[in-house]
Amino acid sequence: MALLSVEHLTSRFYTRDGVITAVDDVSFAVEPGQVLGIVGESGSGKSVACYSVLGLIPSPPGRVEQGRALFAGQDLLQMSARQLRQVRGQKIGMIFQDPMTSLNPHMTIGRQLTEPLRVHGRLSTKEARLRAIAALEEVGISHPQQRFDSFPHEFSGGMRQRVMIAMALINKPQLLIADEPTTALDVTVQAQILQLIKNLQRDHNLSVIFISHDLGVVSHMADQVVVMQKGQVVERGNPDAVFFQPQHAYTQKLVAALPNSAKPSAPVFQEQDPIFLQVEHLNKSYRIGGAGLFKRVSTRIPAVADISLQVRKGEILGLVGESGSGKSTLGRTIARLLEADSGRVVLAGRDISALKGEELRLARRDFQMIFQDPYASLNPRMTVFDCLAEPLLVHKLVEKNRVLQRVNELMDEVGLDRRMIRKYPHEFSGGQRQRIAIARALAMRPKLIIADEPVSALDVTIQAQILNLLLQLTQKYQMAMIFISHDLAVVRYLSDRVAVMQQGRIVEEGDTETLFAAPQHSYTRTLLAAIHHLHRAG
Amino acid sequence: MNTPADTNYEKGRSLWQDAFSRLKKNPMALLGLAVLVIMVTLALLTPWIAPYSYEEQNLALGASPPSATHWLGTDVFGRDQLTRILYGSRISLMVGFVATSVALCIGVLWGIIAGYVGGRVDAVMMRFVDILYALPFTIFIILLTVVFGRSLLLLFLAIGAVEWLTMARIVRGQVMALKHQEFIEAAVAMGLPRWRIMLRHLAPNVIGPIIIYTTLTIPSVILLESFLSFLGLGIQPPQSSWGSLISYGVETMEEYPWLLIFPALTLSITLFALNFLGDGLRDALDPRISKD
Repeated sequence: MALLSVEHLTSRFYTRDGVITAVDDVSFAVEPGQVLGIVGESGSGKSVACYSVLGLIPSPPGRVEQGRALFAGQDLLQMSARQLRQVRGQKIGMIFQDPMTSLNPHMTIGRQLTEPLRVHGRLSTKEARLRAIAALEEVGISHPQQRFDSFPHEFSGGMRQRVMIAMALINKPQLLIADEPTTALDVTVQAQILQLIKNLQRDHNLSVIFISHDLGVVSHMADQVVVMQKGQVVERGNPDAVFFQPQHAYTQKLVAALPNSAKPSAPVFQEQDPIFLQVEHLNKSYRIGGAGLFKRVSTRIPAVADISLQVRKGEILGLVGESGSGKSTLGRTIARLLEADSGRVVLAGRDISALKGEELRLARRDFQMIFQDPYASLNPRMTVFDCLAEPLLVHKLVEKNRVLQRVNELMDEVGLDRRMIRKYPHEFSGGQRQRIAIARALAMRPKLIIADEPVSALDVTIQAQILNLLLQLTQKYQMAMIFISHDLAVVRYLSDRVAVMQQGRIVEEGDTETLFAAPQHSYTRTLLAAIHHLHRAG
Repeated sequence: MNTPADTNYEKGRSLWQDAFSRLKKNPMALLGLAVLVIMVTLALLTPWIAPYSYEEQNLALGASPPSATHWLGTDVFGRDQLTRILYGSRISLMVGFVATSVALCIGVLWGIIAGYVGGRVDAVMMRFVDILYALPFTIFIILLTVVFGRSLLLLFLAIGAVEWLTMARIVRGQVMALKHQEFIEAAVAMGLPRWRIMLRHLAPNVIGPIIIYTTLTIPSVILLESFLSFLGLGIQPPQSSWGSLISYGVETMEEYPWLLIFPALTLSITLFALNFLGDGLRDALDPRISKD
């Protein structure tokens, strides 16, 4: 018999703009000791389905309309808030996506861990402490005795997620719900956390609901998979069947969108082409403290250390690294958004690192950036037209009476409907916004584009579209591109050459396929080993 | 799907035009706007429509409650209350709007520059604000009066000089939070001139707090005027203002309550109107809030 069996669940949100059916007649079951993966893109209702079952959706506006959720024979949807709290604390544990915000920054790890024990388990302080220390040890935190009294900010992201797991498991629940538990983590850390969840699941014979947008990760973790789209379950089965012989068109689209192949087109540049962008011995360090008028400079932390690289016209250089590796700082320093401490950047024969003031401002049209978060990189109070017309007017790239025509051309170029130019950014989806940001960069016909994680905030199917758009535009306009990403699969799909960064240095650089086939540096090998491709169990 | 808005999409509209069309759909804001327009019109027309003279005394009548001849009653000197409120609105509304505009212009510019440029410029600009904050207001006003004598212009200056400080701080804080947003970085990367970034990208995005603070400043300025008048700066009897009428009304409220009720009511109605309009403007200027 299934441990949790959800039948015909429907949840709706009654908002000002109408009724949204977030979960539409969804059924799934979790067997004891098994992992159920729920896959879907943002807005597919995969989280809302689980939160509805646990009584955790904000209500109003949310409401569970119908269905049953039998957990060990009892219907969770019929329970009082008080009973449900008991179940959540003792029988069902949860881990969330963001370990930075799900821990209380003002309480020690120890207090946060022992709280559920003292509330639900009625243990004494001393017993609770011992249990908590044992739990910390089990999730792989070294020196748990000392770490017990530490505050969350003293832990790294991966360690915090370990603490969250310890907290979720401390009352020995039967079911663990993990909602995108590794999405905010670096690949190598992600691999460790996944392994940890897997081990704990096996050791304690836990049932797990694993919610994720990442098909590769789910194929590694799950015994059963449910694919959701727009609130409905479109496909279910064991991972091998679902991912390798998908029946539903949407699942096929999801699998096809995975960037797990080499670059689809041959490079447009020749080996003997002259170097277009030359970065020489670039250094950038951050000053810690000492920002005021009378304060002294205290310390400097190097973020980019003696980096040199070259890019040819029409070439895409992938810059890979984990958070804190300095890859974004490098991109921003080349784009002159940050001042380099030393070093030179030469673009098409011109030393752009030496430019100052008005000269720099005018030269900026040659090197453009595309940012990670399309929600933050567009001014919320400017229409798309204003946003795209602005660079054209400021740099006097077209006559005033031709601005509308040029904006329309840009909209066509990035695949947006011309009729949308009078709309504001919030009226667009994430992928459309990223297209606007690309159009804005493109408006200036730049020679170099620095794209800083441009697809990591997007769903896989959208991600594939944006990657292809970038590829196509780079080739059409013969631009050089530096493509910064933590996602190796994406980098492999797009880049001609790859540079791997660790702690402010480039540790390995080479042609994409050569580097992926035979990584030389140990760090590159660790990174590659941590990728979760679609995985066939049988 | 082809609504009229869809078909003439090529016609350009600015944020303000958009905001106005949204404001028109907010009945409370329109009501506020209408009340303010009526107040200002009455104030402008006062010399022609006032039933009596503001200084003409009728000691025989003395303080009388509202009646057919004196709708809002008279004060102890037998002066018509309605007339004095009308004349008072000229001073109070002018002080309220002009002094607040002065504070608004200086404060917003100061705050945006300090917040956006940052570093030493910010440190120096904000220490200057701190010093002005620390200066006791009363002494500052008395000094001004001693040096320049008494004039209405000085009144605006004095009020503007204190009220912009808080505005500058609020705006600076907002700008500091905004300037690391990617759309500002994108604007820099596009090679936009600094002034354009400040006016086109930063200013519209700090407008919410600015409007809220402005609607709070206007009433406090109107009341501040009566305090300044008491110190000898600003208006002198027999001229009237809402602030001075209210403070006089407070003294006599046990015997002649109408002397407090009517000026206070006028001020309250104005404040309500301002708040409704302010809230409406704030929402209208945020394209994310209303959907159309």
